[in-house]
Amino acid sequence: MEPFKIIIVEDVKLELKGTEQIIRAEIPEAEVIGSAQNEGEFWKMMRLQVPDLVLLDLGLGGSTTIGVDICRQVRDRYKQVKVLIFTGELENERLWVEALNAGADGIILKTGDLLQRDDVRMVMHGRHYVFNEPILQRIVGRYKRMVVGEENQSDARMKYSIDEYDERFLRHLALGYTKEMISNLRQMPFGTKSLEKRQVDLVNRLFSANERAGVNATRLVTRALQLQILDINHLVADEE
Amino acid sequence: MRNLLSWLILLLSVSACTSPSLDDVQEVDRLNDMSYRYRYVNVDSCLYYANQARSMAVSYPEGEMEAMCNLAYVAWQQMHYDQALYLLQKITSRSRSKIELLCAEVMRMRVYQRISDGKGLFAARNNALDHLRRIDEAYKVLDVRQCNRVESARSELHTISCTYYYYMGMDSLAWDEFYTIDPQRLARTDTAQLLNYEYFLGSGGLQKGDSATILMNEFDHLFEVCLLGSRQENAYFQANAFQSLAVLLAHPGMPSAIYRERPFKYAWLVSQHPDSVSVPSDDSLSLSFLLTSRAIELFRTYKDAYQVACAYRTLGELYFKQVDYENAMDCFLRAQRLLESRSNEGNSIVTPCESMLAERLSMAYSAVGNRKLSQVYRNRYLDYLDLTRQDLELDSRRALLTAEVSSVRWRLLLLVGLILLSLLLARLVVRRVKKRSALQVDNLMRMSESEAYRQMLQCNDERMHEIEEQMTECEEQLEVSRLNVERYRIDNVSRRAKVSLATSVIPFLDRMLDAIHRLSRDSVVSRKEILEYIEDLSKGIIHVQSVLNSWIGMHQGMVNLHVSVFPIREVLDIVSRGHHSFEQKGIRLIVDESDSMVRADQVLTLFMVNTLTDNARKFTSDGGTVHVEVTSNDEYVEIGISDTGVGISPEDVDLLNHSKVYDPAKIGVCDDRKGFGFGIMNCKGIINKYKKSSSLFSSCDFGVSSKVGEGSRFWFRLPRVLSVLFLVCTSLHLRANSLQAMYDSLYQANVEGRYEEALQWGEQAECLVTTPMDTMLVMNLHNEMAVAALALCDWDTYRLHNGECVRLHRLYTRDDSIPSYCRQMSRHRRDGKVLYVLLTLFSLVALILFVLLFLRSRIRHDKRVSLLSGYITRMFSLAASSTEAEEVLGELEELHAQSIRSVEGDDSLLNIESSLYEKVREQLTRRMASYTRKEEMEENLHRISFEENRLYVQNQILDNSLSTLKHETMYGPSRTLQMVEAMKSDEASSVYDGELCDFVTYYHDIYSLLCMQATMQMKESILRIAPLYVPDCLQSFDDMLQRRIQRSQLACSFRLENVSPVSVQADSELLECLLLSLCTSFLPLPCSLVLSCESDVRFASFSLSCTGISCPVENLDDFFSPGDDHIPYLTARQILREHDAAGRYPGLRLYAEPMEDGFCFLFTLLKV
Repeated sequence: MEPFKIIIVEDVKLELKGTEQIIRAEIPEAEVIGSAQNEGEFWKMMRLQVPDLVLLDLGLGGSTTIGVDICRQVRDRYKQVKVLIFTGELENERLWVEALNAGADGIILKTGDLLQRDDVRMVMHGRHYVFNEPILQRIVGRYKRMVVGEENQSDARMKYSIDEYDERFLRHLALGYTKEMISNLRQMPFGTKSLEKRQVDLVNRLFSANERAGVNATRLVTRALQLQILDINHLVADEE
Repeated sequence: MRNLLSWLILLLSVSACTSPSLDDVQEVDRLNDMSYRYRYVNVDSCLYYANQARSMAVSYPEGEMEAMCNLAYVAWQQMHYDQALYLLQKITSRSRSKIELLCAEVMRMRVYQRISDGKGLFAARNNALDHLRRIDEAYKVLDVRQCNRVESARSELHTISCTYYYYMGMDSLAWDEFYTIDPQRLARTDTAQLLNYEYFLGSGGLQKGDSATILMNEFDHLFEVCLLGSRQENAYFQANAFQSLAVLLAHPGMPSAIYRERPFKYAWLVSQHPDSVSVPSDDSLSLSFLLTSRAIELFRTYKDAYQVACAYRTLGELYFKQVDYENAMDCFLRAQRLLESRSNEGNSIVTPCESMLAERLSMAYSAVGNRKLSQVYRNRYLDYLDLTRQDLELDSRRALLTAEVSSVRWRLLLLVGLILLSLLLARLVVRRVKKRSALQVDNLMRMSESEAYRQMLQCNDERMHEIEEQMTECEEQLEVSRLNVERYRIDNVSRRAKVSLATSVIPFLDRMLDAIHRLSRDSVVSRKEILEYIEDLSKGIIHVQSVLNSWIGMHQGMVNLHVSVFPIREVLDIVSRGHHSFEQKGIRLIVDESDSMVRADQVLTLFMVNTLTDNARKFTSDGGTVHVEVTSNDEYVEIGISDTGVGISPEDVDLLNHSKVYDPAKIGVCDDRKGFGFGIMNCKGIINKYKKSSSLFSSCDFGVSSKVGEGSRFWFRLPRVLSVLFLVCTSLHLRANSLQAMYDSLYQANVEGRYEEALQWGEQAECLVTTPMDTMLVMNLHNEMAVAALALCDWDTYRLHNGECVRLHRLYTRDDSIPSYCRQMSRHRRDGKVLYVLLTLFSLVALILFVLLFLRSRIRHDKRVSLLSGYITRMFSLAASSTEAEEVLGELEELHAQSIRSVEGDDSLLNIESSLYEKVREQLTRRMASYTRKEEMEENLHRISFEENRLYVQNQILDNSLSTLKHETMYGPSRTLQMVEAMKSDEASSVYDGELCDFVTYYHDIYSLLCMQATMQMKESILRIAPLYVPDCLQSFDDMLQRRIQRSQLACSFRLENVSPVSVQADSELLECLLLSLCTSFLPLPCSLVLSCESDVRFASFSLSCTGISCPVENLDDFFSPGDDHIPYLTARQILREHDAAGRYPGLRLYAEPMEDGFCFLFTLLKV
């Protein structure tokens, strides 16, 4: 790794000291050209000397999200400078997304292994989306759940023997179509009567015998959503 | 006119007297006079002369009537009351002479007084007074004999009324009645009545002064009667006087006082007795005995059985006083036999003497130990009291009166109607059609002034008023809740700030762990340096902790538990309302019933039960049962939530029961049904808080029992409040209850013969009696105490309570309005007759005219009008009904349509109809509007109190979490510090590394866990973000601050400057709180604060400059770092953080900046 210049933005002195220790120990290539405790100091330093990397804490002083705005401005004004977020906001996923939207190259949470040499190296080599272990775990977790959800959907369709027309019927019911409107769809070769029959049939398939009483269209659709037969994120009507 | 009429009648009656031969008349008058004179001397003579007079006075009706009156007297005296009344009725129906009528009525009063018929007495009295008034108008033309008779009757009337009032306990009325008698006039006319007057003065109750003087005065009057009676051989009064004297002389010390002060009179009295011996003056009763026996003798010769009975009663009382119970009883029984032999069998007429005798007999039997008979006579006495009650007839009388009044009113109305009608008809001859329609229109127009309309208005007003009142009440509650919500919100922000502060320690711990890991690696950074860094971190943590601790300490006790006493049922009812969510999962929810009262915080209790039942629902599968059971003992109520769910392993149960901190994620099953698992920890925290707050809650507890696969049972205990205690503690109503309870015990004790205990109960109950009480209950209480005292032969206590019982009985049953009722009744009857005649006359005339002239057209028109007025009345009553206005409106529309149909074609009627309909409609609409307003307000109240409770629970839980955090993590950093110091002194050795690493890891985990518990509570935002116009908002803040500066005479000055007219997205109250937090520490200092607001593209930037003082911190960034004085700034930071989280665009700033002669706080908010 080539030597590079770094500015650390951190308002808690104790933490700053720790970060400096880590950089000294792990990343000897990095030259700390300054550390700023607040926004004013940071911009002053930037005017004096532009670094290669800014290690940015999101919360400074009284505000907890100012880093997002600083990051956005750095991205606007100094396109070549890398920004690595180093934050103690361990739960605020929304803020991470905001920081990424503001142009941050990576986010390192102040927990677990903290700042790793490899992470910094990757940022310096131009990689985007550099995260440390705790964030990666979360991302992977969510990804897994999503994939499993999709699998469940096809399983559920098989299990309850939902065909293409059942799916279409349920989907349009969910979108608020009346049976008459559904029967007018181009890819729906059934009349209202047979749609009604289909609905009764679906109720029998999706509900056990003792649950069937009083099930209306709304309950049926909700059940379909619960069983992941329908995907709530992809409820789109077909062309008429 | 009336004068003239009465003159005429009188002349007629006087002339009627003279029509038979003069000799006959004189003879009859003489015989009647004789009969009257012998009334009080010898009844047989009286009867003889009266019969003579009657047989002679065939052509002299007045004489016959007078004789009959005398015969009635004899009948009365012989206790043949029915016969007496029969004779008197004859007189009333046959005589026209006012004097005879008067005498008959007075005689009737006498009979009614004897048989205690208050109603009859007053009816007779009113008639008598009426006659007397008539006679007085023509007094001058009466001859001497007539005058004398009138005077006698007059005085008799007053004395009888006086006696009645006296026995009914209406003393002031008795006084008035007595003092209307003119003794001088009596002295001239009728000596018997004068004696009667004197006897009254002596026989008690009408004298004033101290008791000795009263007795002496009474003695003098009675003696006078005695003397006069014996001189005129007037046996009746003489005997009465002897009897009263005997009673008088039975007073302790009385004979010697008389002997001393009235020696001659005393001697005379002693000499009266045929077997008189020299009676020593200090022997208190022997003289009384002598006098009573003399009285009996005299009454016997006079043949008055009633009075003989009374005298025997007196004799019995004297024996009783002498503790000679056998003789006393003998006398009482003899008196009773006398009365019974004379009065008719099966006759319910009760004389006062009889009821008194019953009471005395009950005392006598009790004294000789015959309790059974004593009870029998006591009950008979009470029955007599009830029989002589006046109000038994009250209801029927009132109904009768009302009926008469209303019938008279109707007749009147009808009469007026008829007059109007006949007038109208007369005029109709000239202008028939025009007049008629005008009148009809007028009548209908008058509907809007009618009673029904007014009633409708009143009803509506009342209902609106009611609604207004409810609204005011609601508004007050709303205000209280609103204020509470404000307070809780600000408390909540401060707690959130604390949690943030606590959370800010976690990165330190992470860094510490990282540093410890690096210890073992070779690195450019020396081991010593790392150890020093760890030391620094520990110190940093200690610093944050101390700030947090002092902050927590500062607010401790600020939010108290809202402890109250409430029935646990209220909470259970709310829980059972949520059974649907259980049913959906196929789980049966059973909630026990319970009447127990507990002392606890109701909102938190509900939270706990909800949390535990929710948990139970989550872990119970289809077909299972969740049972909320309530068991209790004297000390506590245990609420247990048991389920048939998956259950918990024994190790976990142990963990839940015994350790304060554990990782909920590792307990029980781990799947996505599970939340974060802090619910149970929170419940435990609440119970611990109860325990800490007061020793009253020492019985509070929380626990779990479970078996894997079978289910779990979570329970907690709250202190029970025993309902008996609860009852005694509260208001008058409840006191009445306890009085009732004591009365019941007293009654029970009496029934079971525990009389001493009964008296004790009674005394306790008496202590509770205060003025506004149930008279009936108090009366019964006295009665029962009297019974108890009677049984114990405690005569003083007995008299006291019996007297009180009788007094209350009279008070309770007395009816002061009898006289006026009777007067009113007779007047209405008279008026009614007159009206009736006139009415018939008019209706006859009117009918003829009516039939002749306009029957047909009128019928048709009347039908329309009455139909219409019927509809309109129905509209009015509809609008006055209590049904909700919304429902009534529909019916009203229907009526409207019907009534329009009924008057179709008549424009004037249609107009009236529509105007009246509009009026009714308007009323209803108004009512409906106010009802809707009220409903809206109530809904608002529900919403706000829901929020209030939510915030309250959240605050309590945050408090608990913070306090657990404080206690469980207090010693961690110092322990680390010790270990690091040890490591530093022994640099080469790395044996401690592992130990330190383990400790810090444990510490880190526990700290993160507890922080997590707290943060879970903070997931929902408490902000109420709305567009806020900055100048308005700042202006109101300025006003508030100026007031505060002025009120507390603070040293600083504050002003606004350059406020841009922009709107921001913010919560107005919390913005104010933020500004105040920034200002607050500078307010007492001599500085000048200037607040301004500028705006750029996205943000509005507020700046608060503070000049004139030196900056309190070295580095301006330190304002927002942990420090004892920085709490307000940390709160401000939290508020901004909340805004940041709620906005769609992060990046809000809050920092301090130096400026000339001071510094400046800057913060930004998102523009709208």
